[in-house]
Amino acid sequence: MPATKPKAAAAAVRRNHRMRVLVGVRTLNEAGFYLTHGADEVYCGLPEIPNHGVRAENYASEAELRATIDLAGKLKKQVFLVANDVFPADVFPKAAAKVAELVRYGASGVIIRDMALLEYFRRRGLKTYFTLSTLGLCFNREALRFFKERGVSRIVLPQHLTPAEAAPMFDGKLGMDIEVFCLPLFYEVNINSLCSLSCPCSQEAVTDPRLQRAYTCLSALKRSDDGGFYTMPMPDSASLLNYFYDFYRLGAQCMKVARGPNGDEVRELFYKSLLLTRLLEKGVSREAFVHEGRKIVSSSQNYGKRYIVKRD
Amino acid sequence: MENAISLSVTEPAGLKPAALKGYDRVYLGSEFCQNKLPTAAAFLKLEKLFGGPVTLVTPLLTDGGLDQAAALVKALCAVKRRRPLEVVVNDWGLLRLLKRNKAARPVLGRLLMWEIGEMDKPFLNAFLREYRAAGVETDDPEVLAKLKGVSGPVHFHYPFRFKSVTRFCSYIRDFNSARCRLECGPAFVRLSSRAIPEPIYMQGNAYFIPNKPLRHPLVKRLVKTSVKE
Repeated sequence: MPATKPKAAAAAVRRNHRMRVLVGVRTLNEAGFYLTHGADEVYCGLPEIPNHGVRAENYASEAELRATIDLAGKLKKQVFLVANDVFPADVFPKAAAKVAELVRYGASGVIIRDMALLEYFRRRGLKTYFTLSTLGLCFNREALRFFKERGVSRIVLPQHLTPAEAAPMFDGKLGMDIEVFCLPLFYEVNINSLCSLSCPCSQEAVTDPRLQRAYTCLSALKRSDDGGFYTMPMPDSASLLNYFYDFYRLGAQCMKVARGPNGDEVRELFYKSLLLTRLLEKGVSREAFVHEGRKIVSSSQNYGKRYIVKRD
Repeated sequence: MENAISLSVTEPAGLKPAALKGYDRVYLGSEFCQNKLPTAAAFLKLEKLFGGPVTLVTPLLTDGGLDQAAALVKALCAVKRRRPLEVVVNDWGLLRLLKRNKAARPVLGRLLMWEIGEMDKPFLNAFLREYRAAGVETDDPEVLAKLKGVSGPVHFHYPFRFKSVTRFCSYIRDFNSARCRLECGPAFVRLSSRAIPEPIYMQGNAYFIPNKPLRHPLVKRLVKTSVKE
């Protein structure tokens, strides 16, 4: 099955266009579910290909991942392989060869962070649709050109960029597809690739609920200067709804629902994100979007604790 | 071993030359916040005061911040120096801009250390040559071990190891492309809780834990952050 390129950004309609919906999956069943319930694309990983997910967010076998590629082909949808970590030297040759093999098999593209992987493909004359992970630190139009020159076709916009700041990156002449998170439902307190604070998301198979206490970014911390308490700041819900509205209006082509180790939480995130996306596509006013959006995002989503792996 | 001291943007005001005695180089700017870029005048004044090499330090940049940083580099490069202006770069966009500027030489900063630490070393070394990088920076022994095989010098920061950063500033409750009056100051605030394994230190929009200077064959420069409490 040949690799296919998703519909290009250049044709983005800035008013009431349809955003592609991308969902992270960890099984063939999940892929089948999302691809038949509103998703245009899924992405998935294997533990032997370095990626930012914990083991429980990856597929258990390559055979199942290949079956997902087959299924997406039948449904005329897309499957991306996630390789969004820098490949350590000791695994690079084997892991890069596996990525190339799965692209040849029919994966629609690869989500990357490591520039050495782009070079590996270039040297071998292998072409595919590369997406730069949000971990890749692309914060301005010049950085976007930097990655475009290296073969990237899509970037996942960092969560820590406002629409006003990111507007120059939406210039159609730059020719980059832009993917955004559904920010009102998925926002990380600190810049994800630059955070090594104590947190279960960086640990494998966290099953002990007591470790919830180790989420530094969600804890009340005592200050040494005035004795008061400090919690790490983030924009409020209304601001994040407004940002999502504005990114859509700027012409974002794709909305991403991130992987998680717990299927039911991803499913809830998917349905809520889809509802917000469809509201935008209806062309509702900003005020109506924020009003309705608040109802959708206000129910408990337990976001910060999503990396505590539950027993299925 | 070269010894450098890193000053925040507010520190040069009223600084006495004696405070810089014993250092081979001074850093000025911020690796973490684009509101803490120095003015060209302040940078040039510090160069004159110190009488030795001064490195411009830059953070991750939005388009607005990139325009400011590019204008600053241009102004600083208009002044003749015996060696190119050294710029600590933490943003791929600024690195791309500097590629064509022979009057400036980039050093890859700490925000890029995880990208370059793990990176395939033949690729990394070719990349450093392509961008004429004068070195790479870290503050983490684990990253330093991964840098074995890198072709350029490594600079090691102390007495704090960077742990995390946000662009949403707790002082102005806004993203740091918004104007501020540097309300955060240069102080490091200790943050503690029984819920986390160890205290962390906040300076502006970044978080740290203490570390110590590390002597290692790859490390050719120690960079001490000036600490106010």
